[in-house]
Amino acid sequence: MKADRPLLKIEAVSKLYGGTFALDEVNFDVCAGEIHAILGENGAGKSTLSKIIAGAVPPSAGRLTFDGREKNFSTPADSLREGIVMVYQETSLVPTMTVAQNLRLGAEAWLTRFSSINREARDLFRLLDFDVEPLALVEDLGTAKRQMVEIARAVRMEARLILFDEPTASLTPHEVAGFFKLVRSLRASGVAVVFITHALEEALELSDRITVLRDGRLVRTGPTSGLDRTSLVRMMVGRDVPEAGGSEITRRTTRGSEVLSVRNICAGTSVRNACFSLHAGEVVGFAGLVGSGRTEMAKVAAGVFRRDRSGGGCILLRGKPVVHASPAEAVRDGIVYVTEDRKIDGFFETMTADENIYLGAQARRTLRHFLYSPTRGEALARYWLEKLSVAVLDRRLRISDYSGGNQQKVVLAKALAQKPEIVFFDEPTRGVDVGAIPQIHRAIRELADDGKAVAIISSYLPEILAVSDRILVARDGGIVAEFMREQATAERIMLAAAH
Amino acid sequence: MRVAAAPSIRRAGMGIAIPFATACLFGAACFLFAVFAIAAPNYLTSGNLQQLMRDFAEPGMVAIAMAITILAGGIDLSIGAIFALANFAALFLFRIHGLPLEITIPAVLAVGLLIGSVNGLLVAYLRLKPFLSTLAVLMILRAGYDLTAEAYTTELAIAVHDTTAWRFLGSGVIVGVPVNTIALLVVGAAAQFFLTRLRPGLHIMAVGASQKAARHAGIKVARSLFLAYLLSGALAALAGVFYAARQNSAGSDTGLGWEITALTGVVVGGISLAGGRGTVVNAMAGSAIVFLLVGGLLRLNLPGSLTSATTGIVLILAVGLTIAVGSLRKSGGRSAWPDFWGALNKGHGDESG
Repeated sequence: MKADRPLLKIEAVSKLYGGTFALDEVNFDVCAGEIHAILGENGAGKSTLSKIIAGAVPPSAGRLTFDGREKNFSTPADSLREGIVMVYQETSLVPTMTVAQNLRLGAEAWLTRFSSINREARDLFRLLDFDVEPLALVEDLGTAKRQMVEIARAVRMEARLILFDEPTASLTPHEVAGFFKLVRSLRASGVAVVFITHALEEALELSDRITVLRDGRLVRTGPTSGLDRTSLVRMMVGRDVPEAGGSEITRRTTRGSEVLSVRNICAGTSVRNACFSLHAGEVVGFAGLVGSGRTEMAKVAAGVFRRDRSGGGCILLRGKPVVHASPAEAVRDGIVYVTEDRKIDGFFETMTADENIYLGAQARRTLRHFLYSPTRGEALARYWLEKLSVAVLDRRLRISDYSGGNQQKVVLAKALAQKPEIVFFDEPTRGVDVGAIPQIHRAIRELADDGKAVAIISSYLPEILAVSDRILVARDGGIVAEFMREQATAERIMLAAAH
Repeated sequence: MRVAAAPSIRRAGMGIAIPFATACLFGAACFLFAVFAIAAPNYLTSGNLQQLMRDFAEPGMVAIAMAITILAGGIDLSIGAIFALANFAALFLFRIHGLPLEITIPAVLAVGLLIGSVNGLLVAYLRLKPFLSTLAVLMILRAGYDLTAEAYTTELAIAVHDTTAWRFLGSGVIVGVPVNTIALLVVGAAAQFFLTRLRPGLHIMAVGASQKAARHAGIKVARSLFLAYLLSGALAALAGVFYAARQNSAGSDTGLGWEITALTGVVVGGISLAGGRGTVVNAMAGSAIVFLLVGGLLRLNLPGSLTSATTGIVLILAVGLTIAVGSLRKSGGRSAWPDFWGALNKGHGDESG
C-alpha cells in the first residue's frame, strides 16, 4: 500500500504565533495511497500543521517537499495548483451561493452555465452516494451536508493529497461509515489522505500511520498497528488519564420528584410533539442523530426558542404551566441551557473569565448592582474556576485565548453561577481536550447529586452511557424511546435513533 | 437509515426569494409611479416620462457602481466625486479642447479607472478599511474638483464646441427612450450577467460573501477586490460622460451627495452591506424607488428638507424589512414565524413519509 517515496515531506517545520511556538521543528510525511492520521489535544498544532501544508498559513521555518520538489506555498491557490486540497473544520463554502456553484468555486469556467454545473453536481453526488441537493443554498444546509459538499469538491478537483480537519465531528454514524468507505476508495485510487481527528477509534480503524503531536512537538509517528486507545491517550496527554467511558463515576440511585414536565411541544418543523420529564437528582441523556431535534427540544424547554403559538404543547415547572419568552425569563425560573456551540452563544469572547461569569450570574438577578464590581467578579470567578479546576495563569486574558477545555469550563461556570435548578448541557465536551472531559463529567454528576435536574445532549454515545441515569432517544423532533441506564446499550439506542 | 425516498427537492431560498424580492421592488416602484401620476400635475405626459428616464440614467449607473463594491464586501464612497470629476474631464477635453469623442470618452473612462485603481490599491492590497479610505479619496477628489471646476468656469461657459454625436449622447432618443437610459439598461444587464455568470464576477461575489472561503478555494481575493473598485470607478466615470453631454456644465454641486443617494437605493434594493448578498437588478429597482420618491415629492412642492427626511424613513423601513426577511430565513421558522416558514418549506420535512 505504501510507496517508497513520500508524496509530501515536511522537515523541521516551525510556526511562531507572537512569541510562542505553535509548531516546533515538526517532521511529517505522507505517501500516495496512504491514510495518515494526526492526533493531538486542542492546541497541539494539528490544525496549524495542516494549514501549512494547504498553504493557508506560511511556516516560519522549515522545508516542504511535494512530489520530490521543494515548494513554498504562500496561499491556498499555490497548493491547490499542486493538487493539495484541504477540507476545513469550520467549512469554507460561500454561504450565499448554491451547492453546485460551491463545488466549482475557484475553478469556474469563464461563463457559468447553470444547467451544466447542476448536472455535474448531481452526477458527482450520485457517484459519492451523497444526498445533497445541488440547487440548495449552502447557508440552508446543516453542518453534515456542508461537509459532504466540501468532500465532493475535493473529489471533483482530483486532488492528489486531501487533508481532512475533523471530518466526522458532525456526521451521523451512517454518514461516518460512508465517509470511511469514501476515504478508503480514495486511498485505493492512489490519493494521499491526511486526517486530523479527536476520535481515537476512527484513527485506529481508518489510518495506516498515526502521528501524535503535543504542544507543537512531534511525539511519535509510525504505523497504526500495535497502538490502542490507552497508548494514544498517554502520548497525547503525556500522562495517564482515567477513561471517559469508564465506570468511575458513582451514581446516586435515588431519584427525586418530577421538576420539569414537557408535554407535546411543537416548534416549526424541528420539534414535533416532544414529551419528556426531568427529575431532581437525575441525569437524563438525550441521544439521537444530528438533526433529530434534540437541541431544539432543549432550547424550547429553556426558553431559547419559542414553541408554536397554537398547538405548541405545554411546559410544567413543578406542576405549574410556564411560558418563557426569552432565556432570561427561564434563567430566573432556574432553567439554564448550556450551548453546544460556545463560540456563537456561549460566552463573550472579548471579555475575561471573571466578566463572563459575573454577567452569567447577573442574569439570575441575584446581584443587584448596576455596576460591575471587579472584586465580587473576581471572588465569584475564583470560586467557580477552582471548583471546575480551570488552570489559568493570567486572569486578564480574554476568553478567546483560552484552550477549548478551559473555555467550556468557563461556559459551565457561567451557567452554574446562575444557580440553576434545571440544566440542559448540549454537547458539553465538544472540542474539549481529552484531559478535561472527566472533570466536566464529574461536574455534571455533582450537580445531579446536589438535587438538580440535569439533561445532557451528546452525539457521542459512550458519553451518554457514562453519565446518564436515564436515556431518551430523539428522532424526527420527538422522543421515540426511553431506557433506564441498566437496560440501555449502544445497539438499542442506535436502533431507536435510526429507524 | 433515513433515505430520501420522496424526491423532496429543497428549492433554494434564492430560487424563490430573489425573484420575489425583485417583483416586490418593481411593484413598489410602479406603485410610487402610479401615486405620483395621480397626485402630481402633468406627471403622465410623454415629456415628463422621458425626462424621468433621462434623469435616472446617471444616478442609476452610480448606484450600480456602488452595488458592485458593496457586493464585494466593501463600499466606494468616492463615486460621487469620481462622477463629478469625470463630468468635468469630459467637458474639459471635448468642449474646451475640442477633442473628438473617440478620444474624450476613453480618456474620461481612464480617469475613472485610475481613481478606481487607487481605491483598489488602498482596499485590496494595502488592506485599509474601504469606508475610511474611499471617504478620504472622496474628500481629496472633491477638493480637486472644486479647485479645477472653479478655475475653468469662464472657459466652460464660453466653450461652444459641439457635434451631433455629442448632442445625441446628451439628448438623443431611440424609439422614445433616451440614449443614456438605454446605456443604463445595457450596463445594468451587463453587470448582472457579469456578477452571476462570469468567473471574475463570481469571484467578486464569493469574496464579498466570505473572504476566507474564497481564499481557501484558491481565489485571488485581492485581485477580485481590486477589480470591483476598478469597475466602480469606470461606471461612475461613464455616468459622468453622459451627464456632461446632457448638462454641458460643471457646477459646484455636481455629484454632491450622490454616493449617499446611491447607497440608499442599493440598500432599499435589499443588498446586504455585509457583502455577497443581492443583485444588481434589485439595486437598480431600489434606486428607482428612491429616485421616484424624491423627484415625486419635489413635484408635489414638498420642501426639500422634508423630501430628504422621507428618504431617510424609507431607508430605515428598507433596512428593517431586509433584517426581518433575513432573520425569517435564518431562524428556519423556529422562533418568529413558524407557520409561514413551514408553509414555505412544505415537502422538506416529510422525507420519512
